[in-house]
Amino acid sequence: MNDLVEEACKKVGADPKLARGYNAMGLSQGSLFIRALVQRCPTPQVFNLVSIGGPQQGVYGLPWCPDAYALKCKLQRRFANNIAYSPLLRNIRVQLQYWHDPHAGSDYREGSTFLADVNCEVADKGNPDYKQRMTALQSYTLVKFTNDTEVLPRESEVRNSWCGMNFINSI
Amino acid sequence: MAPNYRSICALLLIALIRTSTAASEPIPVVLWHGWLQKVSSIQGIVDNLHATLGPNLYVLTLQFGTKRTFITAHTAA
Repeated sequence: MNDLVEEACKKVGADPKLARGYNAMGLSQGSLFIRALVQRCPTPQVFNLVSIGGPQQGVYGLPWCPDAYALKCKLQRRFANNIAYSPLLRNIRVQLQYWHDPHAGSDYREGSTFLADVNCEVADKGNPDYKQRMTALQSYTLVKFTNDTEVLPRESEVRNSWCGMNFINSI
Repeated sequence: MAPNYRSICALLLIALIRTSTAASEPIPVVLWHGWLQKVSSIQGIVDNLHATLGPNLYVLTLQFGTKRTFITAHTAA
């Protein structure tokens, strides 16, 4: 995922129609990726950022398995826990790039090369540019779908504080 | 996602970007779509934006393709 964000940065930077800045909007996982783009890509300027149902704090459940207590879902979650932070296996599905096991703090911080970084949760590795670029936005809007069955838990869609920032105008 | 999310997306963006771009300039938008999101739903969002903002709109779309490649599209009416 890190490579794709870098590639997106080059595409946006090479587009003359975006040279004076642009408005950014992401849908579902695209909301998380475009936030990474805003945080990591210094130019062009971004005016407004809109996140529609994005897993900003990651996911701890699979889209096709919303029942957390069903045996099948438990087994799938356990499987994901075992591979999400493995350097050899974490790239087999894009969703593993933002898998966030709340019970595996150190494994997450050390093994999540994408989500933990953009959310400033990597131990001893803060990035002041991330905060500076997010606070430079004119607005940042988060939308949560109350009946969403793909992003689990749904509360991830309105996570409004990270990297020492607190955004209060989420809906 | 809610069934009317395309309109929600468009309306939200419209409300925000109207205040940030001069009326005479094309409104620049970058959309990054969801996992395997259908082309028809992407087009629906762009159509909504065009319908409300008029033709003076430039949209670059990014989507994570099935083979981990980017699908990009540009639109300017």
